[in-house]
Amino acid sequence: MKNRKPDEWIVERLKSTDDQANTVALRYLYTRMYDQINRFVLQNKGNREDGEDIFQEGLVVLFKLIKQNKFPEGYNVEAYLHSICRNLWLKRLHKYRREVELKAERTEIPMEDPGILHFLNADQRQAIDALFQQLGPDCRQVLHFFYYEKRSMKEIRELMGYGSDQVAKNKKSNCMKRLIALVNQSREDYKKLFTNEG
Amino acid sequence: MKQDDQAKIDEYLFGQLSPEERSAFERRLATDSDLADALMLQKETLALVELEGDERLRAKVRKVHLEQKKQGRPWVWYLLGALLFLLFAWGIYHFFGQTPTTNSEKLFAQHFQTYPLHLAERNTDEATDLLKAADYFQQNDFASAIPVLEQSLARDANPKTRLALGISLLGVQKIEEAQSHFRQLIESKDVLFYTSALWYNALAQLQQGDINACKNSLTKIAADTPFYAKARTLLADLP
Repeated sequence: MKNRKPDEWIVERLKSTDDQANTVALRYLYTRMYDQINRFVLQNKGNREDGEDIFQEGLVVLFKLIKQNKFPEGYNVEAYLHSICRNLWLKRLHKYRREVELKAERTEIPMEDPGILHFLNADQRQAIDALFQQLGPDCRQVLHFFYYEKRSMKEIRELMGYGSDQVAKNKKSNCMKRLIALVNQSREDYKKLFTNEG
Repeated sequence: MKQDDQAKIDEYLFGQLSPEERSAFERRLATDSDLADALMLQKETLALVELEGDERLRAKVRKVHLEQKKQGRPWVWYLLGALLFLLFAWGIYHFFGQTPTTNSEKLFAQHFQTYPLHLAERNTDEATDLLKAADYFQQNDFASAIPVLEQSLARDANPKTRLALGISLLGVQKIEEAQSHFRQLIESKDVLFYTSALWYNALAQLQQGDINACKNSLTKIAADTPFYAKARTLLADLP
């Protein structure tokens, strides 16, 4: 297929803090890979809804790997996404005890468990949102950059417009202290909510 | 607990302590229950940060998914488009007095309709022509769509393009040419286009007056597919 974008183009856009750049890359991957993944799932005992779920979740896994600088070098992004989706589908089939010999359309990339991304129910999502709203947007963003995206203090300084790396570090520490205090206030509630997930 | 324990916990959790520092910290953990509890609390907090981050990504992916679904795979839009087209076609036929003479032709006119086919992605450089073809197709300007679709198919044997070409050929009454494309899609058993190809091939057979072949095609359309209801309706109308 013509006009295939290089892997660097995809990775750069998914890694970016710019929402629009993320969206362009996601749309591109959707156009390139959705039919293929959907077809794979349909051919392997799945239905259309399964195909949609698996593709979305596969994209999230890939997105996270790239955000956290864990996407392995030397691999083709599309092929890797296909393998992620394949593995996610295999896990789901095992969960539903549906045995099938997977029909593969392309050479699979051996990989470790694609990782469990916990599906949150509505209550859990609401609890998370309420917690981080209390923190405020700046703190929320700094903690996200440092702990989730594994960005350096230098990057955080530049992204947040702080005066120095030390200012960024202090902000991170203070924000984490605040968040810990908030979590501690309702610690048992959070434990109950997040360990009883279905 | 010491003042810098939170920072120490961070360094411990992210593997940033030297082996000696790590051992010292673990010895403290074994005897200092407040420190152990603070470590657990920080782990729980970090888990929530991770969940929040995952939800952010999930929300972005979901947004694009919904947008793409509405654009390219809109079974609901197919039905809406089909209804609109039916109304439009009915009006045109009555206004211009182009009344089909035979029952097969009447049924064909009643059931033949296109639906939005997302042939190319607007945000890519690829296929300006293919986007034009999609526009012609949407407007039922099949005569203009056909040459563009044929060129595109010659470059890239995409089943979606083939389906659009088959439908366009059917639209200009090039029945046998249309059927050759539908047959290829049917024989390939491409799960995304199999039932669409069956449906349109049935219409082609109807237009040729081959009622038995039409019925045979329609009965192959499975119950959990979008064309099932249309197939049942047409089967009920056939002699």
